Amino acid sequence: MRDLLFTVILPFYLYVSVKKPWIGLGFWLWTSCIKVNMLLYGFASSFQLNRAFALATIFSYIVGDNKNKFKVDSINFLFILYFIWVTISVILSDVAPNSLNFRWENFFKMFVFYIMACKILSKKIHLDFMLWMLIISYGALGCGEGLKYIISGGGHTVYGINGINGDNNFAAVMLLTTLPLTSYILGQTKTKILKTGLMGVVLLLVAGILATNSRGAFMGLSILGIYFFIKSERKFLVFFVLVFIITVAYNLLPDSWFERMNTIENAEEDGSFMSRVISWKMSILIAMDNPIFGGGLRAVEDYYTWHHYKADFGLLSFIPSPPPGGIYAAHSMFFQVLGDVGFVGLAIYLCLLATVFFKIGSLIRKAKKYQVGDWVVHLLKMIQVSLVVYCASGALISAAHTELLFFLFIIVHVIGEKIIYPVEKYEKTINNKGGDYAN
Amino acid sequence: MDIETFTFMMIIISVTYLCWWAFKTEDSEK
Repeated sequence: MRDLLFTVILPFYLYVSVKKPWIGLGFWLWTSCIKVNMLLYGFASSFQLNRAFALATIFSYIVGDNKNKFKVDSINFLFILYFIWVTISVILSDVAPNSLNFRWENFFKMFVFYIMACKILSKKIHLDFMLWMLIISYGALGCGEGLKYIISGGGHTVYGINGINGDNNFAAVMLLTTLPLTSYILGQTKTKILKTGLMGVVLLLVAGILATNSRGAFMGLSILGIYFFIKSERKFLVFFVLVFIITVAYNLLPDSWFERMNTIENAEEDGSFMSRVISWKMSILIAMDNPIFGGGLRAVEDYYTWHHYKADFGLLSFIPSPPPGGIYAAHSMFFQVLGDVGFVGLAIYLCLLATVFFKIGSLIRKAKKYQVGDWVVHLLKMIQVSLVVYCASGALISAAHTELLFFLFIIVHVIGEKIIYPVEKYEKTINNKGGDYAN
Repeated sequence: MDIETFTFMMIIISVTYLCWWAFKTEDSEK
């Protein structure tokens, strides 16, 4: 039934993708972020949807009239440099080629998406469409879990969401990062029914995040609540909403949830946390041995690499942890990058994150100065929150390279170069001409 | 209909409508 419905509607999706590359880009993002195939169980589950939409978008761009130049600003420069760094590290890596090539191919696909998005997207409607696609994808899946959680009275636990390629922690970070973006769309929506629906989505997303039992997400959720309260002009309303959510959640959450969150305070006694420390130490050892280019993508998860550095584990004995047993994932986006691309690669990655963060602040000031539009300021603020929340909760999971994170970079680039810069240039030209006439 | 099927249907309906809206809106902007 699902497969049949999807097969019937797919030609329409491909048609609009070929007609308008930015719509194709939305589908490309959609099929990158959520694995639509995982939601189909029959013959349609084998469709190469991501590839089809990527090709449709590129084809549409090539044959179309609107060809924007690819502008290299500070964000793009660092992103391209990081991509080159990853590629060199992959070439020099000793990690098993099958796994390495697969990881690099994924990263290359993200890179191509990044370049195409920077070229294609240029208007508010493009960005809004992309954000809607994200909200529908992650929002619907998160709401489904939130609904199960509420119906079961807090008994439902998410171990992974069907459609999101990752465990409960990964899914929680994706849902958490989507929350501020939903808040932006909520602010842009005029229709009452849609507004009410989006408020429902926000509440169900919060329930879905709590259902994941993720400690990183709990930290991120707390940061989000504090941020909204501090920044909001309607503090009473936000306070009321927060109290309502906390009260409902407090009564709904099972004891096991509180027990798990309490382990944050007693990290040294927590086996799950100590396995992370072991993994972080392994990433440091890999980076110490390969300080410039690291060990290659997901080196820490490679069997031979893990066992090679296991022998040197004593070098970091001043960091208390049990001896290494089985192989673990990096369990932190920062340690993941450290092990993958070394200290220099991590420095580029951190510069990229910091550049995006500070550029948002600078763009907000420009948008206010040149009165570009309230929506630009609102969107930039929400991107900044999403970025902070992503990094805070991503510090505990291997999520250094995701479409969602790179999409946040794309939005900042597009707003800066395609929306604010033309207004700034125009205003400066007018002012200069005014000055010339006055002289 | 279970929650998963409901979620899937919601995604497909929303994406299809959004796609149609985006397609039409930019044309009317011209």
